Amino acid sequence: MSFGARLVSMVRRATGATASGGAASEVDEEFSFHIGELERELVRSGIPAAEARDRARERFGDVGVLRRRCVEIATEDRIMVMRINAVLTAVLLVAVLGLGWMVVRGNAEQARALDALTVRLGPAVPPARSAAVEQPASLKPPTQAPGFVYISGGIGRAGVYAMEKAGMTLSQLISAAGGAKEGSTKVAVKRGQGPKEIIVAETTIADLAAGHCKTVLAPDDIVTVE
Amino acid sequence: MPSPSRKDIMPGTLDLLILKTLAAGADHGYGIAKAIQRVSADVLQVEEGSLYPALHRLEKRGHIAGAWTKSDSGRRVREYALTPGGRSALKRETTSWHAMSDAIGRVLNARVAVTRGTEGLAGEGL
Repeated sequence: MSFGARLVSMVRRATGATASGGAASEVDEEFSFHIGELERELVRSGIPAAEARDRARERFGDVGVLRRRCVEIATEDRIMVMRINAVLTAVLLVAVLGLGWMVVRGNAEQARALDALTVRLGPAVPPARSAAVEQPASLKPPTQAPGFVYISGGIGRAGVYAMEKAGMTLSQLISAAGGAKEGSTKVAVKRGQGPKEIIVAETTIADLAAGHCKTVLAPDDIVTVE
Repeated sequence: MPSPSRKDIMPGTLDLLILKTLAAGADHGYGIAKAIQRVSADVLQVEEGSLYPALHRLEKRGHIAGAWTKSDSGRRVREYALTPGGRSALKRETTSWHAMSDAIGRVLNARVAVTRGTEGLAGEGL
């Protein structure tokens, strides 16, 4: 039996017992009085006490069956209401748990979808240049947090592209930007600003298409397609 | 064992008899059963197996109200009294019973008349 079914069963038994317990004792007292009166009536008619007691009980009938019928009549509404309450509570509980699960799952899926879109979508709004950009350029592959790269020139959709994480390659950026325009042949990647600016990579569209260039971009890299 | 002349209450009429008995004043289950037996000249025998479920059903409908009190012997006893709703129900059910009784009487008399081949179906005696 599942936990839910067991819980409902426990509630049902508990509420049924609570509702019918008091009613049963009152019914018993009522029957006891009636049987006592029958017994006295028989004794008055000359029947010995012991025999009168037996005959009174026999005439009254099955106390257990009669008690059950009377208790059912007296408590059926209360028990029904309690059972409905128990069922509604269980349904509400399941609904809340289900809703919570859907929210958690939805958030996770949304996060995954946003992650995927971060690389695919663009151009994005250019951010203010951070202090990190002012650091000396390095030829080492970037390992820092996500940032933005810039691409211009003979490209399908020039602009600023957000990079979700370190490791975005030059080929991926050109592909995300709609590919090189017809007639464009060269690609350059610049890193750093002013006197610290260096050219990280220079390659051709043909080499990129052939997979010969594995340049990995860093935040704030500037890509020029000519 | 009840005598051969004694009859069990007809189905559907016990509620009416209880309401009518309580119209004379509050009483307990045993008293109601004895009153019906006495007023019917010992013809009607109320079975306890039917009496108490009927009392609880009528109480639930609001036609009678039960209350614990003390008997002459000092024992706790549950007495039932007719409520205003029960009084209306008694009036309604009594009218309905008379209409039904008259209708049944007419059918029974008519059947006898047809058997005898007499003219006219209604109003014939046995």
